[in-house]
Amino acid sequence: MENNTNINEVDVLMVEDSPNDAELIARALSKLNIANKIFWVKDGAEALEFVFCTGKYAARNAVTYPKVILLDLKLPKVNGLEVLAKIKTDERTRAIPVVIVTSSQEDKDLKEAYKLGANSYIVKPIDAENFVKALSEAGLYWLAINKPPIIKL
Amino acid sequence: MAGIRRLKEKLINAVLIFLLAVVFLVVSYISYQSLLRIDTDEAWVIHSYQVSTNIGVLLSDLENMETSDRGYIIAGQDIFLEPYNTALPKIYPEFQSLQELTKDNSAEQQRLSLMKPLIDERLAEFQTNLALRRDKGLDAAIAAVSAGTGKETMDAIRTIVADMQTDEASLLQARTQDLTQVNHSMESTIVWGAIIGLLLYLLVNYVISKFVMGNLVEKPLLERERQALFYARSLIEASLDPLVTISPEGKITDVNEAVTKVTEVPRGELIGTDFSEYFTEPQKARDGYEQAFKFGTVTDYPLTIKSKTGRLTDVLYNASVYKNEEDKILGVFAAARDYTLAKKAMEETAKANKEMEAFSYSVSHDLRAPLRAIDGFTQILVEDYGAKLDDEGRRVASIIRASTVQMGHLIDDLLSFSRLGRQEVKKSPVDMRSLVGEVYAEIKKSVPARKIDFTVKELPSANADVNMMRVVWTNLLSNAVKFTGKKENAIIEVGSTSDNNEITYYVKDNGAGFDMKYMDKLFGVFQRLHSVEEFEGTGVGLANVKRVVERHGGRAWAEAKVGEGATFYFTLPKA
Repeated sequence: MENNTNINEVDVLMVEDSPNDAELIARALSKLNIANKIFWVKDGAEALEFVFCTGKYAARNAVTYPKVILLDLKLPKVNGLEVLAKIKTDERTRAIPVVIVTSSQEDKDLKEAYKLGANSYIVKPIDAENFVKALSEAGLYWLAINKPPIIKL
Repeated sequence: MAGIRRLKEKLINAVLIFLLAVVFLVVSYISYQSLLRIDTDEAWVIHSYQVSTNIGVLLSDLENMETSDRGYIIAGQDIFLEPYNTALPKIYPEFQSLQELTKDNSAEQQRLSLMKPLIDERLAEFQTNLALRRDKGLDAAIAAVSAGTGKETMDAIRTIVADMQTDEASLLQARTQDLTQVNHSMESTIVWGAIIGLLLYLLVNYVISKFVMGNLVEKPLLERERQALFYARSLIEASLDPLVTISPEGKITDVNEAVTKVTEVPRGELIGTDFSEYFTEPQKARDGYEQAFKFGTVTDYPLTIKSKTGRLTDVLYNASVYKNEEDKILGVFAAARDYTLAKKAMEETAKANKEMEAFSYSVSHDLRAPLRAIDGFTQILVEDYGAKLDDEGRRVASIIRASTVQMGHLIDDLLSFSRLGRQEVKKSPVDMRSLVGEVYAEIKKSVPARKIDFTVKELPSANADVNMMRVVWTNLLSNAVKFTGKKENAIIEVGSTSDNNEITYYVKDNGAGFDMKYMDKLFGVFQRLHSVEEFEGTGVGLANVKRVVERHGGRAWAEAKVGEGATFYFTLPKA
């Protein structure tokens, strides 16, 4: 899956290490008839660089923010909960809606994610059909129904 | 040895009792003798009185005769002779009896012998005078009387009588005195005898109780007591567990050998010191024995003993208060059990559990992802290229998808099965009735169209882990619902029976049932008696039930008839 979205026009930041899952999510979201430019990063470190405009994404315009971040928990380099923590403790970024999308049904992950300030927690269904359904519904909600915060720098 | 002692004691006993008897006899004898003397003295006193009286009577009789004689001489009439005639025959008998009475008294006998002739003379004179008067007349008689020696004789008799009276009087006095003396001496003898007797009795008693009885009873009792004490003490010392007694002030009052070994402090230095000094957490130790004082006992209280050289020993304390005969608390008796091995085992188990936990987590996560991919991309295939697939192609695709779903269920079930095995069983009273209602309602929601006759009978509450019980009921009830799926009128009944030790719960259905010969397999992991086409499922549900129930100390089993239904039972202990 190629990232052909302009980094300054990202609606959905997808932080997902599995290409298959990433593809399925993207597919689900693309079926929605709403504007949703997806940007995909494969690990936690890259996610943080994107959000805070550092490293690889130093050139990104700090003023613009994704409408929603879809965050997996099991990520290489920096894991999902750490990314969540960093986003939610920083004044500049804490308002961005973060939706955890993970296969973990573990109570402790659930508790920790909400404690750190996750806006929503979705467990990836086993079967693709439900998976696609869930992501579509979530995408519809966060991108169309929910009003994104106006984040000022 | 004991025999000779007994003999000695019996001898002492006998001697003392003999002495007592002797005293008694002596007192009796003295008293008796005194009584005899008194008798004699009394007799002599009476005797003296008698003599005295008799002498008096004799004299008065003689004087009566004299007076009567004179009267006749004067008057010459016979009437005046009456007293004379009365007295005369009495004189000699009286004299004789006097003689008899004073037989023992030689002085008196002498006097009497002097008196006799005088009496004879006087009596003769009387006779003569009387005859003269009668015969010769008044003048002749008076002349005879004046010339006679009658008066002198009478005076002489009177003198003798007076002497005799004096004698008797002094004899009487002497005898009376003697009598009094004897009386007194007898009194004092009796009093002293009684006192000595009493003292001797007390002495005997004392000696018997102190030495004789003491010898008989105390020595063997002491011996037995000593042996019992020694036995008890040797057990305490032999115990490998450190045993200690703690006073209400928290000071050590007694220890056994094991304590000195584990603390590396000698016995003498331990006694009197603060119990909590020898632990890594002194406050915890203090809390422990305070708990014992408050509640009477404390069990499996973990502490770590620190020896003099810093060596640490993990122990579990069992302590209880001990009291004296008046039920007053004297202190706490504490026994420590070495906990090192158990602690290590527990730590290893905890570690293993943690590892399992992490393993399960990553397994489930890592296994699911590819499954999702298989499923998802197969779906993409069907969606995007479905037109190019024929029926067979689509069928194959659906099999692929169904299989991945099945695998997902298996992973979920395996995970929960493993978790149930590792989880701590947290017991609390569980309202089984409402739990069953809740679970059934949830299950029914997923099959709203089904008509099921569901009844719940008496379900007593149980002491169990509520979450685990939910798993059990979910599995059993969903099984009942599932396996009655092909029956028109599904009947499911939930009830219980109970006895003294356990409660037996059951779920009865009229569904597909099973062949009893496969009962053993029923509760095995992933064991199924039906194919997935007949009834979906992974076959781990009943294994979960069995695992949970067994972790509570109960058992699970089932009875069934093919085509008619099945009843699944599980028990939970009452305590």
